[in-house]
This record gives sequence, structure tokens and C-alpha cells, in this order.
Amino acid sequence: MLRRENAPLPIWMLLLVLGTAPALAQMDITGMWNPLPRDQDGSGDTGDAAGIPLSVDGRRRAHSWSAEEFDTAEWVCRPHAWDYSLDGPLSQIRFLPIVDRATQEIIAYRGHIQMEQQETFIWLDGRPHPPANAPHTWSGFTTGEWEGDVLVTTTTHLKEAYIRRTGLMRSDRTTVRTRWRRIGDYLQATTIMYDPIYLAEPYVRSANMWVNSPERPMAPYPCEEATETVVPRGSVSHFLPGQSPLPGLDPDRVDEFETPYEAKLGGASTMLPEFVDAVAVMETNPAGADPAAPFMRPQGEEIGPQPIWGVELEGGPESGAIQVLPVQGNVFALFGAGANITVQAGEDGVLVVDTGVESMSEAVLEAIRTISDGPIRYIVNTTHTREHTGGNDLIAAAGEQVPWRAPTYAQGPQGALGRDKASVIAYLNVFARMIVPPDGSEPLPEGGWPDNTYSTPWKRLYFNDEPVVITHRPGTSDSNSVVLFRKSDVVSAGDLLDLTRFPRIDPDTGGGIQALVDALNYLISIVAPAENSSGGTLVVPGRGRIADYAEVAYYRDMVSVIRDRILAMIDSGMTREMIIAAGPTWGYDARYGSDSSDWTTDMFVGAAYDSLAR
Amino acid sequence: MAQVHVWTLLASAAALAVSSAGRTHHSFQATYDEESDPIEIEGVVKELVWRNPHSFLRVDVAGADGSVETWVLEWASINQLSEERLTRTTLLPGQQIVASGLPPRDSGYNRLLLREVTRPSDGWSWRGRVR
Repeated sequence: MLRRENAPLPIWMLLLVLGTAPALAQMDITGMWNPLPRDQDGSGDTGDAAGIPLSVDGRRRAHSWSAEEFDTAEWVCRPHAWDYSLDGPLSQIRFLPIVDRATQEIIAYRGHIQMEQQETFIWLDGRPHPPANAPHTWSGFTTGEWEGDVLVTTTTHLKEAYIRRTGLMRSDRTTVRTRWRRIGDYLQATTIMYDPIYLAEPYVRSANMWVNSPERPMAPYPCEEATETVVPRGSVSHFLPGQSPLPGLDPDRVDEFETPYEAKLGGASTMLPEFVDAVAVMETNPAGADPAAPFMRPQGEEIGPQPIWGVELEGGPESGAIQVLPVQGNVFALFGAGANITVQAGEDGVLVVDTGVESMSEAVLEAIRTISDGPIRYIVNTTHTREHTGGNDLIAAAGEQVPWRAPTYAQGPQGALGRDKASVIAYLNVFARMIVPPDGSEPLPEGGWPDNTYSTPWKRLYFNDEPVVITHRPGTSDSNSVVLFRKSDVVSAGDLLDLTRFPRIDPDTGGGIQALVDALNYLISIVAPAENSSGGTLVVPGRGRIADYAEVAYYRDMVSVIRDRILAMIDSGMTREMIIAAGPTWGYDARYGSDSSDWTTDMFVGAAYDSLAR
Repeated sequence: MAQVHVWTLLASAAALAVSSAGRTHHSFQATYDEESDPIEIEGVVKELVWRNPHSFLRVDVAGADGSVETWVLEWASINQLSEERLTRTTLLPGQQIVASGLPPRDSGYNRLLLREVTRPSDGWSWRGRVR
């Protein structure tokens, strides 16, 4: 034991310093940071993807990409996502600490990046990441932990964005790990991108460094939603196989380094040291190289999601349970009952958009009661299918109509079945299809049929102190409805937006891929972004997470591109079977496709073809 | 066969990347053909879209047959143009201009990356590189 009378003074002073110092080895990244120039893999030819571990779909997406995408009205204000800004545009960063008053510990850093003034928070207080169905943003949700003097951050909930501004994308299922290290006046970031969709392996970027520059002001960089642009609103630019004008994708081009064409296509092997030897024996311009080759679909090719190398989003609804997430204003979203359910609640009672599958009705009712114990007054069905309407009967029966003529009213509006149930609103064709289901199945009980139909372009309610605008927009069928909660600023889109799969178009009930493109463009017109193509109006899709303008625009882009490809194939004389076999969904298969579910990629392509060929 | 060692490629590419890095929103190299000669047009200003991330000049250009096509000339951000003492009223609708810039890679669009613009009526001109 060290006894005071025996210890030399320097040792006591050292112990005193150590005892009062902050946690060992942790640094502080607070400050204004100016970027230092950095390198980038590849030959420098635009479109060259050497050194990037693109997956099959990542490569296909790149080959379809048009630079005009940046001038599409919806994307003019799309920012460089935070992780891209760290690498791409040499942008200034500022980190400010957020300090807990009680403990005086830094519980988070607030980061601001100059390019399109993107913000992020790095939470250090151990809070969990949001549920999987929570909205995604350009900066994502980030937590951090110190490993010695390195701050290791994990970012999830990212929107789809680009790795480079030449069509190299990362998906909305990406996790980014960043290792921040301060070395005196320098700040270094190493990012590891894990994307099961567009990357075959994790992609590491380690050349990002900044120098502390407290004297530099941070310039604002606002961007107001575009009106006039180069690309007409509603138009989506892209290229068919082999038609990209990017020099890096031209097999006949010889760049100044004579980079082999094969190397420029990217892929996991191009990251590895042994690729150096492989390059040495490659032909710069292989004879007969087909720029459309990345689109061909050999038998047995693996195009599904790659192994999850990073962090899989957690916090979805447990099997057999309903998950309730607040959207905004008076509106909530319920997940886990088949199709998503939207609930608006207030002093007038409860309005429910879609009711999920029949087997989940009791659980749905329990979930609604966690939001409000007020009477369920209205159900709105966005379409006729069972995963949207299956719970109508039980949930309507648990409700009660608005007592329009209280206390003497006998029936509610529109000739309702009775006042002791919620009124079920739908476009007229939904009623017809629920009485005689198109698939030949038994109809739902009469208590679940719409008793408040409309056949006009729109129908409106004023409920819970806000306008509720129900609009007829054919898309997956001829009878889709879109529900806008105008004060809460939420849209319930039904099957017009399905973030989990290709759209379930049914030509036999009047659905079509062109109608869906039109409907998605309509959605874009009523969903207003707050800034940088995101936030503002929130959207509850038919399936998948809570969304906003960006998700609607990306989905519109995808559907438009596939429509164009199928039309081009029809024009070239290809038959339905030939088009399905050719796989015109290339670039989107890993994200939205399926070979085995009840809605396969082939079924989608067939339905899209049928709707265009009619 | 490739004659250049891959690490030489990467090192050279690094120099390129640094020299081309800037504050642009999108990749001009992807949108415009920087290896082409500039194209010159003459027309009447329809609108100066003064905005971030890039401003645009919309110019009506008359063809030999009398038809009019609108060209879109991509200009710089508000920040850059302001630094160069331009304002949203520097060019007004109806003014005749002569402009030149880089053509797009996709020939389906009447657009240029502006390099030079002159107003013959008073000799005002701008020349520069859009960052």
C-alpha cells in the first residue's frame, strides 16, 4: 500500500491529475473542421466503379442511371447524405456537444455539414435505435461508443442515397459504421458501409480527414423545392441496357491509364490486393465486350439480398402482435396486421384506414384502445383486398356511427346499415368486389361491407378538428383511395406505395402500371417536403415503414423505369414470356423482388405487361 | 493488355479526384461532356431561375425555320454568383444574350453547362467555371 508519508510529491501530483481528469483516452471532437483533399479509387473516368464492391444489382442500377436524375424536380434538393458528404464534396463540418446538466457529461454531438446544411446527432447516452418502421432520413439515426480514443458510431434508418454521384447507390437498408479519431488538430473518419442490396461486401473508406479551423464561418446552404428544372415534372430519366453515355461504362473507350473495362465495372474482387495481378493480364478493350452484359440474367444467378454484414434493423412488430407508432399530429400507424393500418384519433372519436387481416382483428382493436378509448366512427378502405379489409366486420362492430341526428337519428349517412357500427367508407368498386370477390373466395360478412361509398373523384369529412380528404386514384386496381389528414399532414397511401415489394398490380380489377405511375405522381403532388426532399408530409404506405416525399419519389422512379423497359421490349416484338424471362426489374430485384412469396417478381412483370398490352 | 500497374492508376486517380473536387451538387462530369468543344447559342432570356444548388438561365432560341426552342443553361449556386457580384436582376427576361457552354452527354436535352454569357446591348459579360 502506498502510504502518504512515504510517497514522493510528484507521485501525489500525478495521482491528483489522474483522479480529476475525464475518462481515460476519450477525446472531444467539438469544433469546426475543414476538409483536407483525399483520394478516390478508380481511373477517374466518370462511371468507373473499380474498388467499389458493387453487387449484381448495384452494377445494374449504375448502368441504368442517367445524370438527369439530379435535375428531376423531386431530386433537385436531395442533399448529399451525411455519409456521402464525409467522402464526396469536401464539405466543412461542425460538431457541438450536448451536455447533460446534472452530470455535465457529453450525451451527444450535434453535427452540421455545410453541403446542403445537413444535421446529425451522435447519441452517446446508450439510447436504442428506433423501431424498424420509424421514418428514415438522409442522416439516419446514430449512436456512438468510445473505444479508447476512437469514437465508433453506428448509423441506421438511412434513406437510399449515392456512394458516388454517377449512379453508384447504397440502399435504405444500409448501416454505416464510422470510426472518428482526433489526432491533435486533425480529425479522421473511417467509414464502413454495410449494404445487403447494392454491395456484395462492406465498403471501407479511410481517406477522410479534416483540420481544426475555428476561424472559418459556416455558410448557410438552403434549397427550396424545385419548380422549373431541366427535366419535365413527372419524367424519370434512365438508360436501357448498353446505352449509358458515361465514359467509364464504354467498353471501347481507352482512358489515359488503359484501365481494363472489366475493372471499371467494380465488384468485390476489385477491392483486393490480388486484383493487381488480375489487372495485369486483362484486356483494356476486350473484343466484343457488350455494354449490356451486366443486365443479362444467367441461370442460377444470385440476385437476392447479400449476407447482412452490418446491423439488421430491429424493433419490428413481434409475430402475432400489433406495433403502434405515432406518425404526427392526430395520426398513428399500426404494423403487423397484414397491410398497414392508419388511425386518426381525437375528441370526435376514432377513424381507421384499413383494418388488416381478419385473424388480427382483436389485436388491432386492443392496439387502437392504446391510442384512444373513444368510439370508432369511421373505417376507410383504400382497396378491396383482404389484407386491407379483413378486419372490417369485427372492428366496425366495435364502433358506433357519428350521431348525426342525435338523439333521434335512426340511421347514419349514406344509408348506413345501422348506427351501432362504424361507417365503412370506400370507393364504389370496393363494395362490388367485397360482395363478389374477384378471386372466387367467400365474401366477408355483410357487417364489413362498405356502407358509405363514393363514386366521385373525392369525398371529404371534417373529423377530429381536421379535414380528411379521401381521393380516388386508380393504381393497383381501379378503386384505390388515398386519405389525406390535412391538419396532421399525413397521407395514408394504401397499396399505391408498398416499400416491401414490387407493387401488387391487378389488371383484372382495373389496375395497371401506367395508372400506378400517375397515382404516384399524384401522391408526390400532395406530399410536401419540409426541406431537402424529406420530412414535412408523412406517408403511411400499404406496407413498410413510415415514409415521406423521398420514398414516394424513389418508388415512382422505380415503377416508371420498369414501365419504360417493358414498353421498349413490347415495341421490339418480345412476347410476355420473353419479357418475364429477360427480367426488366434489373437493379431493383434485391430490394423489392421475390421468387417465392405470394407476389413474385415474375407475377409483377406479367401483370405490368398485361396492363400495358391491353 | 493493360500496361499500367494498378497502384499507379490509383495514385493518379487520387490526383484527379482532388483536382476535380469542389462544391458542386451533382457531378458535372456525368451530366456534361467535358471533352467536347463548347456550343454557342444566341437567344432571348426567358427566366433566370435564381436558386440553390444551381441557378439556371432559360433562353428561347429561334431556329432557322422560325420555331423557338427553350434551352436551359446551368449556372452556379446563389452563393457563388453572389460572391461574383451577380444578382437575380443581372439578366432580365427579354434581354438578348449570346452564351456558350458544354453540351450534355444525353443529347435528348437542350442544356449547357454555362461557361460564358454576353449581353450585346451593353457589353456586359460573365465568364467562369461553375463550382
